[in-house]
Amino acid sequence: MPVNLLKRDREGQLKSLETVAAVVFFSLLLILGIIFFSRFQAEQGSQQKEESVALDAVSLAQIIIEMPEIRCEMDNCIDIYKLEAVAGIAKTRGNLFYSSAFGSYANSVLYANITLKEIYPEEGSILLYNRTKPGSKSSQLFEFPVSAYNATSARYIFSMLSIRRYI
Amino acid sequence: MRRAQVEAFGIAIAIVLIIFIVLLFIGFSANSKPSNVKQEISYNKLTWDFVNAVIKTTSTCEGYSIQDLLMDCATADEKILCNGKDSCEYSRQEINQTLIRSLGARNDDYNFSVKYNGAPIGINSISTDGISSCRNSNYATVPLSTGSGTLEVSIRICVK
Repeated sequence: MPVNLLKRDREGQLKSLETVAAVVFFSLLLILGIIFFSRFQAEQGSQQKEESVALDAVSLAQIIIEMPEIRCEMDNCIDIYKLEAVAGIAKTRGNLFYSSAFGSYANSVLYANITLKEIYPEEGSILLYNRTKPGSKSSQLFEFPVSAYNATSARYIFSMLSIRRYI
Repeated sequence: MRRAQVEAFGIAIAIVLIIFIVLLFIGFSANSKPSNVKQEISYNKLTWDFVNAVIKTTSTCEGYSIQDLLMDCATADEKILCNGKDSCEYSRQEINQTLIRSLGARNDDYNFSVKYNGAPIGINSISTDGISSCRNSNYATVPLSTGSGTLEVSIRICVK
């Protein structure tokens, strides 16, 4: 074979090697980009989930505090005796929110533990609702400050509405 | 087109692609913090609810509320006396107890203070570690009119 032809053949091989290297390099860049993007999406998804669970707990607490069946007639507080009565009814019925006035909570099963913890000057706790999620591996606890009224002692008690959401 | 020109063009495309990927990375990193405006509003309201629940609490002093004791402490010449303590000392003790049993039990750091017409009245409750090293906190002030001035009850709770 002439020398010129051999030289051209080697040059051609080198060029195709260059092309393969470039394709491999860009493929690697693309793969790295996809991996990074999917990890970022997963992280953002879990952050958003945590945030939505927290916001859901806040809205749930607001609904409970504003329930006419529970709140004091005059002041912005929770009446302990009303709360105990509602807790008894909720236990019998198996549902805390019975009317469409409670929005989506009325149509879905609420997996939570809702307890009023009396802190000062009286101490105690009243279980309002409890339903654990079957197979649930984790839960998040949220506490909301409220004033609870005990008509017997005529005292306003600093309390925490404790909501544990099962995830 | 000459071979050198083609190669230079290829290198330029590669550089543009790399810059594009780096910019994408920076963009995603900058936006990685989720928008939590709603959450901040909710937590600020909770802090405000906290102060309101504290001042509404009935103290162990003859059925007076914490608010009554604070107003008496700030304005009265002859102060309410309970178990040998005046309204200032008594309200300080009651507020301390409430905060220790609620925020203290959760290891939350806080700073509770009361001012009358902008001046502190000596009722201050701070957690053991304080909030000086706290990076992010929620703050709420509840103003109360006493007739002769304004009482400001405030709390700052450290967000961990």
